[in-house]
This record gives sequence, C-alpha cells and structure tokens, in this order.
Amino acid sequence: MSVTAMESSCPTCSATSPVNPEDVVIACNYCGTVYTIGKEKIADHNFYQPKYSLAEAEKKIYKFIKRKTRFRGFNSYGGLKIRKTLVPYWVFLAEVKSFYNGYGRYTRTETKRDKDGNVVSQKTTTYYERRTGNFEDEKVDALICRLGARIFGLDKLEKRIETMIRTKPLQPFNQKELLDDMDKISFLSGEITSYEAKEMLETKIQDEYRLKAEKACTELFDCRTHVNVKNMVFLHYPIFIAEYTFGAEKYRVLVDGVSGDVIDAEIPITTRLRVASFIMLLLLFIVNINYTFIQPIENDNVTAMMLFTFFALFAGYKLTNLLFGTVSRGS
Amino acid sequence: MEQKVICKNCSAPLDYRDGDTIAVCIYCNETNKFGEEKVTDEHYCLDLFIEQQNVRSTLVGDLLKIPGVSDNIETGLIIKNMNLIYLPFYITQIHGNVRWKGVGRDAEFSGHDGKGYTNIHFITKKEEGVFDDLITVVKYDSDKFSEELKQHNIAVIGRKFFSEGEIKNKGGKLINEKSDFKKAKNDALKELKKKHGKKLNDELMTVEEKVEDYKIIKSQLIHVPFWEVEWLEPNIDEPKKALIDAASGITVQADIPSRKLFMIFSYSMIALYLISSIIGGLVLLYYDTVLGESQVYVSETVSLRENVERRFGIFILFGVFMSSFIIRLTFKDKVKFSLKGGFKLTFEDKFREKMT
Repeated sequence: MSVTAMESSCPTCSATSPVNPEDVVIACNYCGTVYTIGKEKIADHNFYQPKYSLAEAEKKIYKFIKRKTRFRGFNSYGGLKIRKTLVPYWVFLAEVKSFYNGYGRYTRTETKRDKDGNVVSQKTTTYYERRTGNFEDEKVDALICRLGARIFGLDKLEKRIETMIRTKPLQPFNQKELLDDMDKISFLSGEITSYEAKEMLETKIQDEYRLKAEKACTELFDCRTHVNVKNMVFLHYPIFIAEYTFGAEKYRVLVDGVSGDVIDAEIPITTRLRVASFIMLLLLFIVNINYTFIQPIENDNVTAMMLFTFFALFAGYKLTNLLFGTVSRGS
Repeated sequence: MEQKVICKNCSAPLDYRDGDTIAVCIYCNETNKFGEEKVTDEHYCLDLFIEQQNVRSTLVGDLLKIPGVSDNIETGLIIKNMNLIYLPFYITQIHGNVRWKGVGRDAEFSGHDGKGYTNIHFITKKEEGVFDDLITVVKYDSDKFSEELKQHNIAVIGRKFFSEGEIKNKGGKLINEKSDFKKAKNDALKELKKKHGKKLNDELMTVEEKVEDYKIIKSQLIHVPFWEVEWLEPNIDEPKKALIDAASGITVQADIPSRKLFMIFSYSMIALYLISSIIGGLVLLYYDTVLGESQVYVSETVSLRENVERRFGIFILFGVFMSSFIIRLTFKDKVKFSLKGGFKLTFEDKFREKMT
C-alpha cells in the first residue's frame, strides 16, 4: 500500500498546501482561506492576534517559573522548548430552552426539649414535593475541532476561550497579520465538519442539562432540552505550548496566546520543598496537640475551634500534597 | 487532493481523486459509486515523537518526579531491552435519532401538614419525544496491555495513511487489531444505544413506539506507536517495565524504582496520624464514661462533656483525614474507595509499585 503525499489546492488562490489525511477543514498556508475538503469556503473564519512573539513568550515563562520556584531551587531550570500553535475551534452562540419535571423527597426532624434542655421526644417526617425547572439560557460554547486531542491543559483552555469570546470581539482571519509576526507558527486544520460539530454540541448541552435535572430530583420524570444554534464560527485560537527541564525532569506549560497568561503549568517539587513541608506538617501536628490537650478545658470558643479545624485540614492537605505528590500544578 | 477510500466489496484502497464519482477496484473489479454513501473506513498510523535515543531521558525524567526515587537513576538506569510496537485504536463517530412514544410517570401530592406534603401517588401519562445525539467512541482493540491502555487518551495529530512497510522500516512491530471495523462500529452503536436506553428508562415506564435511526459518520483505525521498555535500576538485577506513548511522549505506565526509605517514612507518617486519632478516641471514651452523667457547664450553654467531645473530635478528624491523604498520595490510585465496594486495590495508575 503506498503512502500518498497529501496536498490540497486552495479554491481562492490555487496555491497548494500540505495537509494531513484526517483534515476536513483546511487552512490555506498562503492566503489563509479556510475551506472544507469538498472545496467549500468557510466564510466565518476568525482568529485572535497572538499577544507575544516566541521570544517574549519565552521571557514570560522564564519569569513565571522563576517566581514559582523561588524557594525550590531555581538553578536547575533550563532547556525551554516552545511552540506557537493555532488551535481550531468551532464556536457557537446557542439558545437553550430546557424544562424538567420530577419529585424530591426530604426529611425533617423535630426535637422537643423540656425546660432544662433535655430531649423529650424526636420525630422525623418524610416530605415530598414537585421539583420543576425552566431554563432559557444563551450559551457561548467552544468545541475543539479535533477527533482526538491531547494538549496539556486543554480543559482549562476551553473555559478560557469561552470567557474570552464574551469579552473580546473576534477578528476576521487575516493571514497577513500573522505573517508579519516572523515566528514560525503552526496551524492545526480541523477534523470535524460544521454539521458534526453542531450535533456534538447539542448532545453535550442536552447531557449537561439532564445531569443538572437528575441532581435536582429524587426521581426525574421528564427532561426536554432544545438547542437552537444562532451563530457558529470557525476560530483559530493561538496558544504557546512549552516544555522545560528541571534537572533531568521534563515539565510542561500552556500559555494563552491572547492574554499571555500561563493557564496551566507543571511545577517541580524539589527535595528542599519536601523537607520544608515536612517541618510545617510536624508543627501543625504539635499545634493540634496543644489545642486538644494543653489549652484549658474551660476555653469553649466554638468559632475558634471551627476555624482552627478548617485551617488545619486545609493546610494539612496542601502540605501532604507537597510532601508526597509527584508534581504540582499552577497558573 | 487524494483521499483514502476503500472498496466496499474487498476493503482494498481505491485510487480515487476529487470529483470522481466511480472507481473500479483493481483487486476485485467491483465498481464503487460515490454519492452520499462513500465508504470512509480509514486506516492511519501516527508518527514518532519520541525517537529511540530519547526514550531513556523521557523515562528517567518521569521516574525522577516520583518522591523518594534516588537521583542515581539519572546516571545508573540501564535500558535492557526496547521495542517499538504499533497498537491499534478505533475511533468511531456515530449519530443516532430515536423518536419515541409511551407511558411515563408523574406524581400527585397530598396530606399537607402545614410544612409540606407527606404523601406521594404516582400516576401515568402519555409522553413522546426525540433523542438526537452524535458521539465519538475511542476504543483500544488488542489484548496486549489492555489493562494499561484502557484509560489512555491517544494524541492523533499528524496522522499518516497506514503503511506496513514504513512501520517495518522504522523497526516497529505491528500488533494487529483484534476485531474489525464492523465490530468497532457495532461497539459504538451499542454504546449510543445504551445511552439512549438509559434516557428512555428515565422518561418512560412502557415504550409503545420507537423509531430508531443510527448512522455511522466515520470510523477510523489508528496504529499508535509505543515504546515497550525493559530497564534495570542501579544495583538491582530484576528488570522493570515501562510503556511510553511514542506519539505524545507520555509515560503510560512504569514500575517504580525501589524507594525503601521513602516507604518507611510514609508508613511512619500514616502510623503517627492513625495512632494519634486512636489515642484521641480512647481519651474521649474515658471522658465519656467518667463524665457521662456530668452536668458541669464550662459556660452558659456548653457543658464540659460537649467541650471535651469537640476538642477530641477535631483531633480524631485531623488524624483520620491526614492519614487518608497520605495513603492516597503514597499509593496513588492503587487505593480506590467506592461506596459499594469499600476500599479496593487497583493498579490502573501511571506508576505501579511491586509489593516486594
């Protein structure tokens, strides 16, 4: 079986672009026209101008890692490899109408006490009520245009894109603006057609509302969700994917290309940090002993007790993660 | 652009160009007409992202992230054996439309006692509706490493048409798929039908009419390269194993190097917290027995007994939670808790430790 070199000619400028076999939405490398494999142009093709050049992004990541590893031993940092990529998304503005009907069961306990505060009787009653919900929402949803995607921090990126679209107007795709930026930029073409994306979105939203309804009821009788896609556009969203080394270890960073924020990063846990966490954990244990055994028993400040419990559990959880975890995440 | 389209009769690849409406198979002479119903079973393979020379550094980098692993791994780890294998994955996209009619449930409420209804009566009602869904099902299709790869997400960027020659050129070993496209499509169909069945079960008690329309949108077979590695850690003869996704550089699974000191430390921490909560429990029990009937108050509202309970409650709670955090992190996902099954030991995580 022969392997074919894949090329596709643009319906606008006739230039040929190399394509992968899985691509169904192709971006012309010369004029930027986006078209389907059936040579149908996608009119509404948008993008965001990347905020940084590769060199600037590199500096930004350097600063970020330096700040995060200040107490961990920054000296081992090195070997940053960075890639600028435009990730394809189908972005939807959809009107969602959803209705559910079910019932809820709950119990209420009544306690009767005498004058001295002693419990005389306790009665628990089970109650039933109808639970219905009616939603009319306008949703902005972004669906990655790849069948299988493994990009570090992808879930966080999706939420970021949804908020970005609400706050920053989309720019019509302009290849020239991207070419002005001299850095090498890689385009990912799309693997999901507009029809498939629309159907997938409907399934996603319907499942989401059904899950919400199921949680609200003891038993759900009906749930109907109608999704009306008002507008859909094809968006190329810029990201920086970076990998750096820390000693012999490799860690990953994802930077939002539009705002320049680090969305997700793996941060090493060094021996120094583990020792520090261990000491803190011991201190916490000693404070806990002091609070339970040594403080005078007449001290009955309930609020302080509650606050201390929350603090101790939270701090304990964080410190244990640093002491026994493999890698920490940050943004 | 050339497209990979296969013969509907013998599944051989067809030479087909844009605009073609008919292609005759050179193997079986079947005439394939392309309309809406173009057969789009596709077979791909992925490119190597991690080459042979980078396997060791990838593995070492990942192993060193595990707490307690000695730094001498970096210089002393020896790769004993390394194989490039191509494992099969099916990606199937399926669309389903189900129109249904039947009898569903509803409820009426009665017996209002001033605070709410205390009785519920279930009634039936006629209902009808439509489910319309499109899902993508990714399935690993071989018995080799089936436990390890059940949860693994593959990266599929940079696909190439499948070529056995190219795989062999790279020194790769091809692991054949266990089943065929038909089975993969059937599995996807089953999965969507199951989803619809569950939804229908929520909506209806009795189904009176059901019109189903399921259609496979596309189905692809992808052979993904993996490095199957056998390695030795310094001063230990027993070989350990690792499986690395060569297309994305992710370590799917690896045995953990021995880390006795760390494990002793970890067990001591767990013991410290568990013993502390047991001591707390015993003290509480003692106070409870002695002060059980006591009506001594430390303030207007709080009795001495309540205060003691609160203090030791916090102590016990802290001990139990901390020990469970440490257990969870030390053993990773090996210890899983489910409401039905209680605590369960599993080895599905990225790293596994041999209990030697």
